[in-house]
Amino acid sequence: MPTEPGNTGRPSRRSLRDYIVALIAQLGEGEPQALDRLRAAIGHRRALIVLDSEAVVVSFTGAELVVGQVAVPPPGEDGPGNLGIADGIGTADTAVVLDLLDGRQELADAVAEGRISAAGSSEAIDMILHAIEILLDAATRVPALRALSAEFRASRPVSGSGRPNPPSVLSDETEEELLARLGLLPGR
Amino acid sequence: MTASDALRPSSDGDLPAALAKDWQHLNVFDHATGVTGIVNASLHGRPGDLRAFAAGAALFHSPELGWVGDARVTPMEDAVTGVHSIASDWLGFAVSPGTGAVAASVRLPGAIMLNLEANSVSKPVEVDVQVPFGSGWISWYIIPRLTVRGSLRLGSTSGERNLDTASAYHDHNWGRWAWGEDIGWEWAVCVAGDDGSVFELSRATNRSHRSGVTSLIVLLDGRRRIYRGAALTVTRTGRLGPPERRVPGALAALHADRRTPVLPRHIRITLDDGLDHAVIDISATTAAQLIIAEPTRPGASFIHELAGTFRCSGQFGRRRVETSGLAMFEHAD
Repeated sequence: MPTEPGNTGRPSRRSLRDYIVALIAQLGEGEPQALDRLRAAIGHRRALIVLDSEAVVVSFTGAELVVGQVAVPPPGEDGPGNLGIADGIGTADTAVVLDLLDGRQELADAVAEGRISAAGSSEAIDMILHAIEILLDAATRVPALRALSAEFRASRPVSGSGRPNPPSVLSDETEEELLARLGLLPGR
Repeated sequence: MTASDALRPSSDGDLPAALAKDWQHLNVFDHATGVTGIVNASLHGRPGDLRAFAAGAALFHSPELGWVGDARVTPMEDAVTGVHSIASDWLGFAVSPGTGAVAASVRLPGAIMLNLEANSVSKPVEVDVQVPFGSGWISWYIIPRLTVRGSLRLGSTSGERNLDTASAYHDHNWGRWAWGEDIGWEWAVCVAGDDGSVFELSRATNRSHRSGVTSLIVLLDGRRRIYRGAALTVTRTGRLGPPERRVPGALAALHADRRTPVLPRHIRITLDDGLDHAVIDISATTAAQLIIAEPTRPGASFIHELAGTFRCSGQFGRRRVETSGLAMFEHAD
């Protein structure tokens, strides 16, 4: 995994577009039937996904995924006025994504606090949530999807969300010493 | 001390090997501070199956900080496994074949930093038969009480705690089953802080908890007693609030419908076999939910850890018992 120059161990940060492309590709490889369900859930609709300072519009043209980078809507203008380019809009930031991945906040609470927002018709909001559900479910059986989640976590600097900072990955050197001391390392 | 326990990997001739589960578990009870915790390392699936994973869970509850910790999975091929050990990049669990000592370490900066070694002070209990469980079976090996040496740091601001006066409980479960099928269990361990007694309750059951035979292991004055079936009654009263921590976070988001399970605030275990009799009252104060997904097909099980205290009053032979301490009750469905 490529790392950022001058950054010890932290993987390069993929763009939001590249993450979504990778997620869909790995879903198709790992569970093709789940990708079929995802396409069916999205149908002909378009979703505008905003994460931090990046925004993409996601749709399917036939079987082909289309992900286009767009400008982030100005604050207060992510409502129905933007539905010219999308049927539904989902907005979040890295801090809340990490809090959800680390179990520090429930999804419902994040929505209630406005840390995650969704706008559009009820069908469009259902589409976005259903797509996320399909990806989360498939990740339990597709290691490559879990790897993308781990890469996302590792590529983000620890950020202040008002909650305890998420843990970072350290080397397992001390654990290896522990196993070695007990004579439990393979080959010893 | 028998050195017969080891991880139980599946073999080529093992047809349901994809459903293999191998599960090492440790409870830690720090009587001085009221801190209780679990460390768990497990293998799910058949080696060579890309879906197979190693899971690690470390959750500690302190009266000041609440629950801290996490549960994470690693592809099985990326975990370091030996005959008696499982390790990932943040959690290590090993059992020494020579002494039966259990070693555990956790590296979650800002949450849990743990190094401990636990040594048995009681004989193990081994159930090396395939007890029916869901579509498969389960077996287990228990060491009811261990002494502990080590250190623990919780959160990012608290100091390091010495665990040398803490107690531990260890078990190893293995078998063939699918998470999310019609399985469940009820389990508790109560560890007294003063007299070294341990009370361990278990019942393998279905998701609705309407089947199975309850057993109770009592460790008292170094002697082990086992009770089963009609000698035991377990009643639940009250309702505990929703789990204060649900991990891993991605599965908690997927299963938002399981955010508010019905969990008891009080569990009473009544023992009367005509010779010995006792009442063990567990009072739960808080719960955490561990969600574990099946790697071979859709489905997940939910393991609820209820931390609290217990009191026991009873008569075992000529021994009158009045004791209390820390407890962990588990409801899985």
